[in-house]
Amino acid sequence: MKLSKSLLQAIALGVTISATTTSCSLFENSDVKPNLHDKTCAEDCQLDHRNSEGSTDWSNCPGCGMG
Amino acid sequence: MPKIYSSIACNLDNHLLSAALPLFAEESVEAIEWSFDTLYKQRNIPDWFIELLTAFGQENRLVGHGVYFSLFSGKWTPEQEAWLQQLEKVSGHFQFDHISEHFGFMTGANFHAGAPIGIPFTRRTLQLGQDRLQRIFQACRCPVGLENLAFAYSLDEVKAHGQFLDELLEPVNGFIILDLHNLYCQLQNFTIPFEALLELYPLHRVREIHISGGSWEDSALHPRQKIRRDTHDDAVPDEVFQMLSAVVPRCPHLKFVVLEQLGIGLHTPASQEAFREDFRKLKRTVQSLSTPPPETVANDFLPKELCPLGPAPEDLSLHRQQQQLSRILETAPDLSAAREELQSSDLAGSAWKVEEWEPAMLETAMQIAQKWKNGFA
Repeated sequence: MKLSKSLLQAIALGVTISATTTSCSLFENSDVKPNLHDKTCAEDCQLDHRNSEGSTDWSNCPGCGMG
Repeated sequence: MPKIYSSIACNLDNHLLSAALPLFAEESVEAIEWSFDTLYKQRNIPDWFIELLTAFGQENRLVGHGVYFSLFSGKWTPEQEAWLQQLEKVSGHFQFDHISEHFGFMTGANFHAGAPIGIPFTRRTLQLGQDRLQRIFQACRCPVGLENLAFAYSLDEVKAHGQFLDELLEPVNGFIILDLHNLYCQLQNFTIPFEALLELYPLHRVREIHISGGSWEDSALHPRQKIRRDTHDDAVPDEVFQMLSAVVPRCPHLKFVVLEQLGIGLHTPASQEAFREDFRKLKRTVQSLSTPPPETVANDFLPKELCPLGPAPEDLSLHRQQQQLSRILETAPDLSAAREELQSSDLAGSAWKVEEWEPAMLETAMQIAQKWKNGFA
């Protein structure tokens, strides 16, 4: 399928600099919010298990790698 | 046979997108599959990724592939309810041609952790699955399907999987994603001929095919035996391409053939080139096989009639068994301890048939559950 040149350039730039300077509100009001702690955490767990806002750690698809 | 789209699984991953970019530029990617529920940690999604999804969606070339719903959890959870609400919202933004999920239940204690593992094929689990597929349809209002599971505890389970999928999908007139690497794992791990296995699948329900690579895991139990795992971190084996050639002409309603690979296997220029070569081979193969078989009837894969849904059904006995199994798989120090614990659990002497599980596959289930118990890191 043909994609516009501007979109291809934006993807190229995006994967190069991992930029997340723009945002989409699609997930902002999701009820499936990341928890500060996992259910498996110890009570005194000090780690923040959420990704910080603007993180470039784009979670990939774990389902694809299962099995 | 309608046009078959040569597609890639496309998620927000730098390495994967870097590998795919030349394919997009040469206009050879005909559709994309997006795992819409994997961005739960990410609030900021780049506009260009949204634009990419929108572009394919507007051409009816975007399909959604869920990961976390856990279709067969004995207990209905608020997270599943929220997952459906999110699916409804995402489906309002993007035009999905269909939505699919994985077969099984997730072992993890956390909604976003664990691995999909099989369940007993009983009347009760069938009803649970049918109800939840209908809920997925009501959220997305487009065809709904399930992917065959790579993992199985026994040969009997392998042989019964296709028939159970058929019954499960009947009320929503759903489709099957036939993952050929998942079948390849079963051919290797259970020594069953491909043709014999294929005969057991309702191929008229196949609307999508997955191909991918995987890896071999040593078995501590049988040092000479290797277990095939569906890890999606390597190139597609030749055998899987041969399976693709054999199966495509037998699937009258096939619409998408998708190459899946994780970004973790695409860190080097060589691996990215191998990914592109796999895709081009996929496309050549599909194009060489796109001959319509005679006497095929179109199927829109939409439900003909649905019953009104009440409160989501639960099976708390199944839930308790799943909790026990997850704990054993995730924490047992070795195979022998796991077998002992299973024998003293609620699963002993039940429809799970734990007494018939292949020891090497139980060992594999432990490795999978322990690998994914903390989610995707």
